[in-house]
Amino acid sequence: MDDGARDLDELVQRWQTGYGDVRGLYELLREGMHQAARRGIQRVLAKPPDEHRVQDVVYTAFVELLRGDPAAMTSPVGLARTIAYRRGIDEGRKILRERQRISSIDALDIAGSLPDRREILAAAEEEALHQLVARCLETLTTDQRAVVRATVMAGQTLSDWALAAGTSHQAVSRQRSRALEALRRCVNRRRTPSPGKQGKEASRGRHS
Amino acid sequence: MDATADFDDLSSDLVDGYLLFLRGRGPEPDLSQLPADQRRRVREQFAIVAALADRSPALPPVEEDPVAIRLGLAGSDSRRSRAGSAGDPVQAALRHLEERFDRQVAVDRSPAWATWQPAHALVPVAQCSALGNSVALFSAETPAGEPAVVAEFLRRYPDISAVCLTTADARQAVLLTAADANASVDPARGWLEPGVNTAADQLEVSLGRYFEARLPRWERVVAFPELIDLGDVAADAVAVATSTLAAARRKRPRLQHRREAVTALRALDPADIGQVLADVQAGRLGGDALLGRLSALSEAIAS
Repeated sequence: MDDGARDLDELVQRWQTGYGDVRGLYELLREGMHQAARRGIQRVLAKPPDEHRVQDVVYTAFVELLRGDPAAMTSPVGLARTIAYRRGIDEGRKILRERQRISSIDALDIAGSLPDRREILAAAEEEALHQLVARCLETLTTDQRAVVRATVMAGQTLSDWALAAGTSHQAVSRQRSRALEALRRCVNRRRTPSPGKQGKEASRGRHS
Repeated sequence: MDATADFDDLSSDLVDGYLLFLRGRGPEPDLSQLPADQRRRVREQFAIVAALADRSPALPPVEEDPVAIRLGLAGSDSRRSRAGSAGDPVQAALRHLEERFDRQVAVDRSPAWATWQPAHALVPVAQCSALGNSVALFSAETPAGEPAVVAEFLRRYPDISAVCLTTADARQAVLLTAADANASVDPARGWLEPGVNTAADQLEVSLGRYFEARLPRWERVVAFPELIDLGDVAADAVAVATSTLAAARRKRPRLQHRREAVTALRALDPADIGQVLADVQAGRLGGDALLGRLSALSEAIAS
């Protein structure tokens, strides 16, 4: 496990046992919650959301998370993302309803349904994967990192990026593919340490 | 083209499709036609894409994060964290509303209409005002069920733009304008009951969204003077006039009057046109004076 994931785990454990600091918890969860909220709204509206709406959703979701009993939560990280995603969908539907003047509030409200354990664990796993990928991003070349940031993390298309970079669509497309492949290999390497390293760590453990 | 390049192109197309899927704009790409090894690689790439997608725009430092400020975890109010604080949640939400809008929203806790006695159990709380928008805030047991009372209140107090009804814990709040509080006509569905298009949110979200939509965003026009201040355009104006005149002079028209016009243009000095442009841009020339100057230039070259 790398440093980021360890920090997050420790903080969540402290919070679950009643010694947590809410600001620290928010600081570690906020990026994933903003992403989940954005995705939830986009899922309904099919276009990038207004960031003020995203902030409203994250605020509501975090307050909702704090209302729960930390000790009873399977994974606060996964739960935070799941709540933000669901509230994002609610928000997207609310925007649609405002726009189209649809009156059936009950039919659109999914807030009542409880997220299931699998959904929460999947969200927690995605956040853990992001911690790994964020570190692997630093191993890419500057150009590869730039194309991934623009076309995956932000909403730019490959064509727009190619135009801005003064190169062809195909060249940028292949550059991104190689970058994602490099990230995939890096993540797999970090997830499964080599047998030699495992052996060394095991023997270190026996001697200590 | 080699196999690696082929796979790069294929996986890039699939990743584009997957991004569209994540953003609600398309179906999930079908990987069933791929060989098992490639399918596994693409699935792993999809997981990475899902973890990274929509992480932008980057968040500001936590001290400037609007959500952290609203939660009372950053900014001037961070010492008394609202997230875990006791006290009246409605008053806490009002305090944070004032801070969020940098005191542009004024909260009057003893408004003039507080003496109003409705038949229903509405308790006056405060009036929130900013730039001609005033929201009367009431505490109510069931915030969604009082549009008729709200309509009556808004008729009695026309200076109030909207009414917000909140539960005592500030978790459920509904904001109604006069349009929301009265029956309306929908072209497709006919008459709609009052309040059908309103949904409950947290008090701070409801009020915040209302003022967010109405207060001007000065930061978006802060660079406007720089935009309109073009500086000295004399040199550019002469350059444009020169190239435009050169293009006109190159023409070889067949009609006699047009040939005479092109000949007359040879006598026109681009600097004179440039001077006219500069004077218009600086506000020294306009209206009849501009027409007079252009007429004088035309007559000078025609004579």
